[in-house]
Amino acid sequence: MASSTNAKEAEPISAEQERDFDAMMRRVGIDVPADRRDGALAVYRDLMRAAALVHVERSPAQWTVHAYRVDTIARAKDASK
Amino acid sequence: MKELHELSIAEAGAALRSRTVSAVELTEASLARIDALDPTLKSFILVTRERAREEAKTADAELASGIDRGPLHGIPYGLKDIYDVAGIATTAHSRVCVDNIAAEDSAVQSRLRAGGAVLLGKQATHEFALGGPSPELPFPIARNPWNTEHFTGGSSSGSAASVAAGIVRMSMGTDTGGSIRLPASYCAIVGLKPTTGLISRRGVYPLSYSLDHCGPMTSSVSDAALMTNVIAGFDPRDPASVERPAEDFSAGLGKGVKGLRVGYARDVITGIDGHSPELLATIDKAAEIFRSLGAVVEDVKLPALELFGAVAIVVMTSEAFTIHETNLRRRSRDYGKIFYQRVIPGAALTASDLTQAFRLRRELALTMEQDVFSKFDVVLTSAGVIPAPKISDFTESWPPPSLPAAAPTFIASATGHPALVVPAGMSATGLPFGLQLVGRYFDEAMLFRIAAAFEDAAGMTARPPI
Repeated sequence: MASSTNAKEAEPISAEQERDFDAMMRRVGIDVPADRRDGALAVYRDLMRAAALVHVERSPAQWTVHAYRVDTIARAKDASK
Repeated sequence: MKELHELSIAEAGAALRSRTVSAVELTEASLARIDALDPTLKSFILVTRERAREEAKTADAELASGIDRGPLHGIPYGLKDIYDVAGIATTAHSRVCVDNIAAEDSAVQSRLRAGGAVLLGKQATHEFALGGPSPELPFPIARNPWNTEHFTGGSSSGSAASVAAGIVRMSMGTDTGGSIRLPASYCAIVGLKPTTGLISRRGVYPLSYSLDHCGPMTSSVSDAALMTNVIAGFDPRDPASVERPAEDFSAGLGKGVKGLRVGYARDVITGIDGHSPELLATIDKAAEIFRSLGAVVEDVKLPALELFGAVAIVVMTSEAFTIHETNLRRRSRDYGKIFYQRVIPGAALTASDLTQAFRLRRELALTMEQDVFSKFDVVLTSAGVIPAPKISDFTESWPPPSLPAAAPTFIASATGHPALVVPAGMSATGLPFGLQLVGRYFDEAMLFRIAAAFEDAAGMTARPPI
């Protein structure tokens, strides 16, 4: 994964984002070490911004994406014989 | 008269077949360059010296007895250390995997071995192809041969450095968000992220199985085409693999670009805060060169780069967290700080986030196919938007504050289109810039054709000052 793709002028992390991050990590049972929290929090801020960008309302007919393909299972089974 | 390390794959192959050079001599020349240069460059983390010598002897003996395994027969190469080679550790440059001995060869390694190529060893990367340059990992940071204070680009860092330095003329990288193309750009080599499904990822440590690609990193466009001829092909054990007729990817080399249509996505570069005016001028000049060669070059407007980036980030972080969740919980201190910080927030993504990202990925891909590649044979842009930063620009905590916020590599990462980087120019400070060509699905031959025309007309011939 590309590495030089980081925030140039990062928006400040709000107190609300900080609370959300801490609550989310508690909920999933992850204890983020103190020396790794600032970086993880900055990535969380950027990740939540990216997640917001992908959310667009679509009709049910437009959801036939990323379908399960049984032919890939059958061919893998045949190849491992 | 060229030195051995300056020979292209085709030139070395011709010399092997005329018996003016042997595979053992090519291999010893590469090993000698490792001894001379790699204490500084740190491009290899494991050199399989005796194995390489044995493979080279076998390659020579086979050629002498009339067995010719094709264009890579007797040619030394390196593998990014996330490719499995049976009996050798795949460390992924991480403490988590230092004892991870592979049981069988990756699909690409099988093809290279069957093609008679000579494995020199495993090459430096970032932790699990993501982490970033970090001194806290069990192996050192690869250095850019153009200026060893500078970053190679990542994550195929050792693969790029070793090719740029002339240690090998071909290496294998992987590319999820730009990990072949950025190092190719920063080190002035050629790098291909192929169409999803062209080259098998079986036996390669996954970062994000929906976005990962294996691809060649070479000294020249023709070398990349020859390497692709050997490593591409259907693999029923990679669910993304696509069954297609065999193809000669070098078939279009030398045919020029007259009449071809190049869409120049200049807005992609100018839309990124912190882009280098020198880089932009370099790509502008490349567009002019394509015009002078007879191509029709017009500006093209793509969907917003941040949408491609959002797809790549959401899918990659979600899948990387899922792959590493157990170890991140149990062995968090075995991961470097940067990898941990970049992946642990994936725990916060929802099923809806990931499903929406897959939906948007398909829409972006269709837009590229229907609206862009119906009008253009390729899209021209850059890979990075600045010269290689200093390694010291990477702070201990992610993200490094002084670097740009996006990369044009995200376009083809998100959609799975093929994308090729070829050297295009130099900054005033002596660091390379590469141009990126994005093509239609499975139209790698067109990318090679167009890149080769550019390389012939204006490509860089300078070598790193080492």
